[in-house]
Amino acid sequence: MKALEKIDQGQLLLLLLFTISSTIQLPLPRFLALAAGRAGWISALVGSVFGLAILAVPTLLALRLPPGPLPVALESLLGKFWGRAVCLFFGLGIFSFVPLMLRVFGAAFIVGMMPRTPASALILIFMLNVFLLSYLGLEPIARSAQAFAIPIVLAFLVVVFGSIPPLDLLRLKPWFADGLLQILRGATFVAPYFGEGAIVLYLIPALQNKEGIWKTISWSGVLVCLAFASLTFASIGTLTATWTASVPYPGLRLARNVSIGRFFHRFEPLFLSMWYLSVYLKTSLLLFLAAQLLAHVFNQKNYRLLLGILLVVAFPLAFLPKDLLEVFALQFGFARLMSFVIGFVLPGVLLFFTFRGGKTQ
Amino acid sequence: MRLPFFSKRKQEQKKEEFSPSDLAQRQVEQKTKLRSSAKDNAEALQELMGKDNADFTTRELTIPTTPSVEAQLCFCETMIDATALNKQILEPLLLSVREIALRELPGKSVAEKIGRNLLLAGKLQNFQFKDEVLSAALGGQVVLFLEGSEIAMGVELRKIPERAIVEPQSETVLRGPREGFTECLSDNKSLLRVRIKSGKLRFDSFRIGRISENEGAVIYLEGIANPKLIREIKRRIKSLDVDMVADSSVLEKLIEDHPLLVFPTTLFTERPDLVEFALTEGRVGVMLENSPACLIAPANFFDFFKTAEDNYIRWPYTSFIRSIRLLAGLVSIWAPATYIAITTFHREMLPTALALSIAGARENVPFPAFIEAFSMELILELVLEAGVRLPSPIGQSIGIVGAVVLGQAAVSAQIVSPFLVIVVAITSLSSFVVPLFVAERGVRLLRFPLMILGATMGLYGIMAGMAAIAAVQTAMTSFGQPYFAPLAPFWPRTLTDIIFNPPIWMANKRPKWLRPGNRRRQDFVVRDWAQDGENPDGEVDLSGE
Repeated sequence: MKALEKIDQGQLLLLLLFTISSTIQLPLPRFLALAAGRAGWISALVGSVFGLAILAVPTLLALRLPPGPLPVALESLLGKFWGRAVCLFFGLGIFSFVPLMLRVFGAAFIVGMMPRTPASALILIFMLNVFLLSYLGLEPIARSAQAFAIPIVLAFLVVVFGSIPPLDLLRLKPWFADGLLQILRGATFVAPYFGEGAIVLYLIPALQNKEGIWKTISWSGVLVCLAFASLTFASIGTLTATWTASVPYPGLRLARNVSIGRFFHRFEPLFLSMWYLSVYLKTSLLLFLAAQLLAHVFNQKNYRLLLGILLVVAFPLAFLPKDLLEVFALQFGFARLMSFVIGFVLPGVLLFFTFRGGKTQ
Repeated sequence: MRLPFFSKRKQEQKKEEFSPSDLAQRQVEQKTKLRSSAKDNAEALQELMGKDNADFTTRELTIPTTPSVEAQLCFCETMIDATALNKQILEPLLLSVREIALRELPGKSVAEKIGRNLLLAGKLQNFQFKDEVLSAALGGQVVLFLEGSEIAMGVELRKIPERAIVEPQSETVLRGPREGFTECLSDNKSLLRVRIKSGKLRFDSFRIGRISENEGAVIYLEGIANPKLIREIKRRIKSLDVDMVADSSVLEKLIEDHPLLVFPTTLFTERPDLVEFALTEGRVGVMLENSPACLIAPANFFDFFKTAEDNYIRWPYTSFIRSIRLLAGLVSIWAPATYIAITTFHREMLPTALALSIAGARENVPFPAFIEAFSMELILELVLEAGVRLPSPIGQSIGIVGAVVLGQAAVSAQIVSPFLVIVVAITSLSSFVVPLFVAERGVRLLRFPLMILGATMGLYGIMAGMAAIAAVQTAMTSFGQPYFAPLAPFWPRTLTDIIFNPPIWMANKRPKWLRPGNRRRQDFVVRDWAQDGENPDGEVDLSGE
């Protein structure tokens, strides 16, 4: 098994931020507007608070697991068989996101930027990039997150703040018109995605210094919350709740409206390009983690061989959904459920074992 | 960190093919002790040098002491100073020692007596083995064999053609020192020694090349450079088994972490002042005989955007110009690809007036934007290469011809659009703004694959290309230190050094990413006079004097 690479807390924060927020960033306002109407942005805030509670569970588990990389720690805690079984479940669970993300990615680019290019071509190029980065390992993934953080955040801010001129607060008022139940319904759309934060189970043991880890996790949660809430707020305030609920990617629609000095405009290609980077980082990380975990299960010393195999498997799986609606259905159904299971339910059960007498750090 | 795609099996196979056993055998053969017969030793040396070797001379002499001593003098006449040979060796040994009783001279052996008392040599070395004698003679020493002694003496009388110390053409400055290294290692060492008069400045010598036996030196400041870094550099050099290393650029490729990639991971300079700055930061230099460039390690990506002058001009301008250089670096890689992507795929991003203007200019151009831009960039590379190859007066003319042909004629003939000429011009200007970027022309190659990606997939393709480039860069290391630091990994305190060049009195610490042995560079308060209670404002009243 590859020796555990080391990352720092800033890198952990960015990896969490990109993992939780990147894929659903574009369509989320649509679903929040559908669920909670004009109070969708409040749902994003409330959902993020619930999400932080979800994120706390794998974090606590990672801190209580025996020392060493996740597969080793699981074997120490549960014994060889059950340790590997859980490892297999985690590995397959994380891998299950990869084909979906490939398709989500391809669909968004076809809708937003390259309608005449076949999705397979887009996805193949994307896969090559993902393969290269995950092949290079965790440290380059974490460093790439740092290298790209500034342009990604800048592009996001340009879109959010660029929509301020056409924004009308009246489109958001009254704040609680649809009632608390609707807001909570919307919140349930957001919160489970924080389960993707299960990556901390692998990343926390790789930290150079674990001091102040809760602060880092909290900050990443707060930043995700701000990203979701601000994008939804800007979408509904600019486009109205009805329009937001009717476009597939409200974020892209916002980017189209941005105009700086009546010269720079139509930012959606630029915004999508930056979104590309965040999805690329997330997919590479998830593929890397899945390959690492499965390599341990199948006694493979080198996880890199598995990367290729996993991508070859992921490619045809990415084309299972027939259309964009099916992609959305999987993204807001299966992916939400799987995030919740691997990020909350399973870590919760394992946490119980650590309290029950398993070895702790 | 090892980058992928290197076949382990191949490397192992290679190891077997080039087993060091043959080298060791060769070394054992050469480690033959000298004999007591001066003539035999001289003949053996002549044999090693080749019997018909024209520049190797053996001179038999009898030193007229009491008793007289038979001796053999061996040297390469093209490598030594003949006047010094006469004055320092022949005159003392043949003229000044008549009737001197050897027995009365202090020293245990004949060799010691003659070496200590008769030879006029500042640097005298004793050799026991044939291979030592051989390399001494080839290195410009005059070797003296004495009859009855198994020890040979070497006197350094080296004189080789040298050029003057001039300002390096590729690193000129408006302000700052104007001296540059030459091809002579000892001269280069003195240039550094003059600047750093500290016993901590170390020149650890090494020899490299089976055939060329080039002399070199690992240069560092003891206590400041990280000992592990010094060990690693020496280890890499020591492990090399090559015929010859003609220049430090060859050595660079032999010892750098990623020799297959286009990005250089070792700095090089011909300026002693830059080496001085690097050494005091905790970096290590490597110099070779016959090479005017000093390698400096480790280096990160952003070091290639710095110039010597940055240290001499005021910091606001340095900061401004550094940010311009960084921007230029991006433009030089991105500009043509972005032009192709926007004109082909993302016309909606352009303001209407500009889009119409570009469309109007391209109306009669028969080629698609990609062919237009790609061919112009290729022609530009041709012009640049021709300019470099030709003598400078003709080279300038080629530049003008190129500009006229590429610019006016191509636009008039409606082969390319005027906008593209602007883009190509900006691209080439940008690539020349970046100081060491220019020297590493390989980096400029990246614009071609990016153009292809931009032409086939628009901004999406460019982003994919940049993501791949960044992935490789973030995985790269320079002698173990991350290449993309201090941006990734993000070290905020050193990050300012990318753009801002803090005034010397504020740069109290050495860069953390270099992991120097001693991080503190100077006292917290450098400008102590400004803190002085007597004259806090710095105002001096000179009227009363």
